[in-house]
Amino acid sequence: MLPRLILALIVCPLLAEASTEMPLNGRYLGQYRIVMWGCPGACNADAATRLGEGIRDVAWTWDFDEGWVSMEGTALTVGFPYEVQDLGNESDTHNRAQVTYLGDNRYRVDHGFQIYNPNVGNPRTETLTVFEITESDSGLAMITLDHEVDGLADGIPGTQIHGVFPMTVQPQMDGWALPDNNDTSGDGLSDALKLQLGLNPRLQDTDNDGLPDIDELGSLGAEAPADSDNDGLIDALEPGDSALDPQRLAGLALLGTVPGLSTGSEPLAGEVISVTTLTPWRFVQASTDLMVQDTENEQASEDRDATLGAPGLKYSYGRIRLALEPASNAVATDSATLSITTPQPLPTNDELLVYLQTNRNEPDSFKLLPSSSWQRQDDNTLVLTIGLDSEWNLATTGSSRIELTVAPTRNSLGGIERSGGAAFWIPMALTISTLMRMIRIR
Amino acid sequence: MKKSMSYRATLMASLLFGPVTVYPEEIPGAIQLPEIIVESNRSSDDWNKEELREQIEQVPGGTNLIDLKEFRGSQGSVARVLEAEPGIVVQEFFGGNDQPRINIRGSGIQDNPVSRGILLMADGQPLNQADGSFIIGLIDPEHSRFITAYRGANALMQGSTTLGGAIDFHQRSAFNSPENAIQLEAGSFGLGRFGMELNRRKGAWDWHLQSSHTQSDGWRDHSDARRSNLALNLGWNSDSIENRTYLNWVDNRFDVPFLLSKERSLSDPESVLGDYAPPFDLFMNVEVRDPYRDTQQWRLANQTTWWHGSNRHQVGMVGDWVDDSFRNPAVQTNTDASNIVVDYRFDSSINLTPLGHSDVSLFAQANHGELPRQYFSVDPGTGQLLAAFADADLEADNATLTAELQQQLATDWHLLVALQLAHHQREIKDRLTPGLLDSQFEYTAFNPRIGLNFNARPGQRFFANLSRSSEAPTFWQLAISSPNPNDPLNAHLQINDLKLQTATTVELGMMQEGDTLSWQLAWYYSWVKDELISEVQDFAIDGTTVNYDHRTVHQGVELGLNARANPGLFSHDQLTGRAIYTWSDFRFDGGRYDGNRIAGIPVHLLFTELEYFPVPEFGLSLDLRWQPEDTHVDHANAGLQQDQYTLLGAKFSWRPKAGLDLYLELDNLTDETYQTAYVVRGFSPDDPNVPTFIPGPARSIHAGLRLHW
Repeated sequence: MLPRLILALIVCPLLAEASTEMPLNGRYLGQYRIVMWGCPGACNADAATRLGEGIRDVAWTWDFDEGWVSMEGTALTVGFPYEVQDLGNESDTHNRAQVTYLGDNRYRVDHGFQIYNPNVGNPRTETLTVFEITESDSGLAMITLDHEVDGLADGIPGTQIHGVFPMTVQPQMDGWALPDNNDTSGDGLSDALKLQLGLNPRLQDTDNDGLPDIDELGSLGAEAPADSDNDGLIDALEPGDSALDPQRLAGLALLGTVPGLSTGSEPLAGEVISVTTLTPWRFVQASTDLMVQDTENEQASEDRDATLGAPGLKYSYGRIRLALEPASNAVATDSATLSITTPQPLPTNDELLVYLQTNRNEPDSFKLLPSSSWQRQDDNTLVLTIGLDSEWNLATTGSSRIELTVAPTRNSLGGIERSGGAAFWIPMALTISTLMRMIRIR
Repeated sequence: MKKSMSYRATLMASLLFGPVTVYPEEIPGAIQLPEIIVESNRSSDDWNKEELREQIEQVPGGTNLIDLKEFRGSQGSVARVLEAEPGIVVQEFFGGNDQPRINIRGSGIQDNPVSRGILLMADGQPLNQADGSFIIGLIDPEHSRFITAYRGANALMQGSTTLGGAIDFHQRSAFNSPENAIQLEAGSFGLGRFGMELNRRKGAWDWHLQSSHTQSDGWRDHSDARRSNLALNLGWNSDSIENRTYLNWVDNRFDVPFLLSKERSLSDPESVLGDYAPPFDLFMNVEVRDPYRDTQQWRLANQTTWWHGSNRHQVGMVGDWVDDSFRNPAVQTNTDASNIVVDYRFDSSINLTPLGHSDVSLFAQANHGELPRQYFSVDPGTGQLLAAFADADLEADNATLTAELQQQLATDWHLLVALQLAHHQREIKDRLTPGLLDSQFEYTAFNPRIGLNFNARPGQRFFANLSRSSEAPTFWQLAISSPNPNDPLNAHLQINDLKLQTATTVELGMMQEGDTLSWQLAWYYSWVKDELISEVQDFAIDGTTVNYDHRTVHQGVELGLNARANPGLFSHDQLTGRAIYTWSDFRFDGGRYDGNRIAGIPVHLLFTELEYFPVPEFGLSLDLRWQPEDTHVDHANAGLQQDQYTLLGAKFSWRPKAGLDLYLELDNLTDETYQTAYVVRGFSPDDPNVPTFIPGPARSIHAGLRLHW
């Protein structure tokens, strides 16, 4: 009861400025990512601490006609899941929060907020977040405003939540949304469907090879999009001849994203890579994802790990899952060589690290691949050799298949070589010599 | 016929070995000194003290000499014996055998605990580990007969390269502490201490064995502490050779009650996080996370000194093994270190020029240390350790060569010219993920020094020097853990790319010793480049060190004053007074903190003591420690400050009969609530959720006795 009362006191001044008529209407689907800001003291921009963020972009649905937004939660990078809930968290529509228009493109969302951290009692509170929502040809952009209940901005996006978590926190939830059942590109495929297929809803030809996506889906359409070379990547994503070449993957978007669709949360989101291999091997599966995994609400601390790979490293390329088999009638060789070409330059040879998963059942079993097993062929190309019987092959032992999950990254934790100062031995020798002379003089 | 020696060397030898006849130098053109015969009738104590006094008087800079035989009261912690010395700033941590913050001239002061910035020694041999770090809690000052400090760059000839200088704990031996003794001490907060000393001299051999045990419940929750140690000093002497072997064992363990917010440190300073219910207490529950430090050290050292003509040679070797578990609320580090040191020192008295006498010294030292360290996260729910998140081989190598010439320019003028070359290597190898953290650092420094001593009249000396110093980072700064107290599985180690810190210091001062009034005054000004500036993060369980990208300036005044009078109330009564004032003006010169004070140390610190002996056997004293200003605790000099404080103390000492000394000490008589120390952040807001301060101990009393024969 008390939290509700407090919330009522908080929102009353806001209601006074609430406008009744929303300029937007209809339902929009999109994604956002949360950033948790902390204030170790009086909240201001200089003192703000980025406590963590959501491990991935997650879905939200805005319904401006009915005045609600439904927001999925996920794990924070610090390991704890969070939820954006309805007030009281008592309704069937668990994650559906009320939206009120405040005027000037500002929308207030009244919601519950809970972090599942058993060490501090899974704290929950009721709060509000004010968004600025702007509309453009590419959809809606949602920006979390710096909005405090006393009306004074503190320089940090979000609204302060006091006395609930170990320090004052402010959730920032920026994202985007597209109209539901909309066909932005006008190619006859809805935005939602194109996103589901990994295609760019804003483009008619995602792989820019001159063939429209709708044509490259093939005769069965979206039900069973064509993959002519059976390499795990549909033709609509693979430009030109690569769609017919099982030894070449092209148009594979990093981080599980859609080609050309930048999210703003990850620098390489929307960037595509190509991967090639040599005879007798051919690709049969390909996918990408972030180097993260979800955690359970009640998971114990010692098991709670939302990030994969080595803690502290930023896996900007995420993980790339590939499966290879020998071409028909070919015999598997002892190893397969892969060339991964990225659009952005790779880290330098001294900085580049290549991690591979070592146990298919343990997502966090990434280990550093010895530098003898990879080569940075040029600024954009990484060449790997994976043995059929090596620990890096995740396929069933004894099969003639290679499955791997590779995660290249830049070493930001070590690998430092520093040498500084004057040449040591020359002045030392001079000093000794002078001293000896002095003693001889005596 | 005895071999020819310089006056100084002869004096030293004569006092040690008996009467020696000095013959004039037999070098053509040498100055013919009149023949003198020195008959020593001093005790070994006095000899040792005179030698040390002579050594430090040759230094054209700030020095300290503490005779612990004259020290009244408990010598149970480093803080107690050093807190009333000019130029040495001590901030108690938890009030016992833990890790008080010892600082000279602002060197390394931001670290918590302070573990670098000065060279600690035992009889001239280093106590620091090869990476330059030290564990202050391992030092039991009761094992020392004297303590000398060479402040700032005045410790070049001791092998120190740092801005802070060196503190040398001169070990008790059968010569300088010829009595057997038993000590007992008890007091507030469950303090109990027992110590014993045995020694013997027989023929060429002598030995001194000392052992003690200290324990206390601590004045705050979760602050139990205990320390046990054993020290053997075995010597062998001949006419021209002295050999000393030191064997030390220390086992030191203390709980870490951790920090409190300003609000809590005032309202309930005895508490720890976890004693209350707010979310932050649950989050950083000290009782559950159980931070502590447990260190065991074995140390074996040998030092051989021999005299040949006017030359003195000294060769030393040290091996030490340190098993250290150090746990804060989020991370535990286990270090199993071994260090080996070899050094050689050569002193010669010669006549290089017609101007006057010359002393030439050469000091070479090399050491190697292996400090493999594992890092574990603490499970926030259970306090159990999780699997190691980092495991690194840490190896450090250092070589220093220092040469010094002291040239008499005129009767009362002496010039000092010195040059130090220092080479440091730090290598990190990742044992958990080979190749990930592997890093290598190499630093070379060239530290020249020039100084001038002017003995205006007996007991009065003016000095000046211009010196350079350097400091290589320790592994605590190079390999930093990044824990999140609630995200134990994402803790990681990160290698910090740090440069060598260098400084150029100018120093002026004077000292005067008289029968009724003695004083010393030193002013220094240091331009520091690439200062290793440390800042802890919000929860105070991790931090980082950077080379500040602009210059910093360390300026200060160190004043010590001693006065003595006979009031005449009783026939042999005596009144002594002491005043110690330290002004520390340390600032950022440019950069993001331009003009701000470097946090970590009070600007003004005053200690005074008035002691009255109605009869020589009984004394009582009152002392005052005054920090007159609030002190910023962060480099941004934001709102949060350590409060100014005034502490009053009293001591009573009584010698009811020969061989029995009793004392009673009362600390913090007014029961002042204050903050003794704090962690240094870049920006430190005043917030009840931010643990920053270590509350100072409340009023306490303890008493002790020393039975000696």
